[in-house]
Amino acid sequence: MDLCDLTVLQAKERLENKEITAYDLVVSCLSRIGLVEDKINAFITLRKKEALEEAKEIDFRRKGGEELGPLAGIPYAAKDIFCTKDIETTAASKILKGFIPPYDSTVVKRLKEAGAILLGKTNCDAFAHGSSGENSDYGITRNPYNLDYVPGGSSSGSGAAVASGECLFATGTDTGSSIRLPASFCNLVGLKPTYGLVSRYGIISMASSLDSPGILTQDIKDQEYILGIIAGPDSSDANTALAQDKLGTVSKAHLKIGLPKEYFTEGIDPEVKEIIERAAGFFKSFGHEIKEISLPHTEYGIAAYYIICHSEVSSNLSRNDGIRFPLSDRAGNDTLSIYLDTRENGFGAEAKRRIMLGTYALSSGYYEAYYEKAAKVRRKVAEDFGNVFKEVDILLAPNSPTPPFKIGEKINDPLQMYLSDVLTVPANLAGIPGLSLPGGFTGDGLPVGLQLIGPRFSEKLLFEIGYQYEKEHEWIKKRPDLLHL
Amino acid sequence: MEEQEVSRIAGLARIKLSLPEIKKLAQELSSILDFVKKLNEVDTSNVEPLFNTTSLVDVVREDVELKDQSLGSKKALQNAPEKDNQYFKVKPVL
Repeated sequence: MDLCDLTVLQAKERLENKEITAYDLVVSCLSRIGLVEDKINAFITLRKKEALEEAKEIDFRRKGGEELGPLAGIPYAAKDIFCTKDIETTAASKILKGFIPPYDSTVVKRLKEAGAILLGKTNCDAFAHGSSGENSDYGITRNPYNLDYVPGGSSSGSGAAVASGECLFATGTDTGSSIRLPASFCNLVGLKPTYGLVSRYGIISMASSLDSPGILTQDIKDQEYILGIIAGPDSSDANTALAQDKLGTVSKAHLKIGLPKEYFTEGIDPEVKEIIERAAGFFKSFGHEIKEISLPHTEYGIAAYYIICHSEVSSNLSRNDGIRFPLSDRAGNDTLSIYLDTRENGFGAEAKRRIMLGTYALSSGYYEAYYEKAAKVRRKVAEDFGNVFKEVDILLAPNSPTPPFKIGEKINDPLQMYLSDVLTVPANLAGIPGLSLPGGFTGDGLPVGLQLIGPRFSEKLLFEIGYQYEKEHEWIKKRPDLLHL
Repeated sequence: MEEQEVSRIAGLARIKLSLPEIKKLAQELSSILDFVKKLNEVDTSNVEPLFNTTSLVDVVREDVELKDQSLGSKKALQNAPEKDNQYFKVKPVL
């Protein structure tokens, strides 16, 4: 087994036992990048020289008996919407080309302090607008399990990079699906944390009331371990004020697991349905109770989400004005034309679509009918969850009604693309956690993930139940066949 | 959505859309707005809007001076396309 295919905890153990060096690890990852990167296009920026130097330094300090951070020597990648000090951060958009942040996002800062080695910045849908990875201004990222298929988005590069062994874990964000979908499509573990558990500081904002930063890993134990390092209160993100000590609590032998009946209606692929039903059967055999429940406002969730999301996007993207960031069209005579031209030339089609819809929904005369109405429906969606969590402990569902789809299949129909998020956006609307973990493969060899959803700050419970499932199945061992890409 | 309305919103959003873009967006926005009309099926007569799921209100810190918290104008301007001393430089506004 190549070193780059080790899990974080496996690599950590070998590093601490001095069986391998951080340098070996980075070399292995870079070698894997050399093998597959021109086919999958997971990275926008690589820092090979710096990563090797940092690895050498960590090895030297470890040799000297120095006390090192919990992730010392572990190579990782950061989605290119995480600000990284002195390293170009583009949000996969043309409009931020050349942007060199003068500071690190909190997540990156915490990983740096833990000793993790940043290999590079991963590709994604521009400004995280998308569910497939096809909206990047830096090329499409392909699914390592089958290059004709999408890896899921918007954290497409992070999913593809971890799945193909280019790095041992990667950061992502989930605003409507963007960690869970790549996890599901690339056979990985990806948690959308409780909103407010992980600091959003330094992450290029998409929708501020929905954005949830997290990570993609090969397995549950890695996910739990790294989450413990990045989660917790941050004075720079006031929404994390309640995030202290939220990962060590609940434990229950036998759970009531709800299956939301609205998530299994028409439109769900039969292979996906079978995988979830088989998982339900497994949990039942493990002593948990399976119960059908109802989330009556599910069909309205996606509509509410897209109004709220696009509205907040339109507000957040107003800072891309040709004044503060490098790209600037100054051919015109006045400042107004700087705005008009820079934004026309710098934004991609999807960013424009979202800004336009959001501007409309927030404009005078329309605010109550759209944004406020959507926010009221949001409360109904959140209440649905509040109600079912009185009857059951967690929910089991798919992440997507379909398995990974082909590149090009949905990109020309924005509404079709939006509908792929119907099973993931409710958790974002309610601010609750959703965990995607490997659940099996279709007949065509494409990964399908399970989704476990719980109340706010129930991450520990989701990890426990997820681990019960993971331990008894071999899915995480089924890595993509990279020699025949 | 009418093309004229699309132009109006583009003005608000400060994006100089091309004519083909306006035409395409008129179609796309129409179908998205058609889809979200279904929100009207939900009775929200006595429902408060939900904006923040943390239920936090007014998180404040101690009222003390923080040292070295500022980025400083040099760093803050390092990505500016045009600058003048400590200012972002722009073109005439009026």
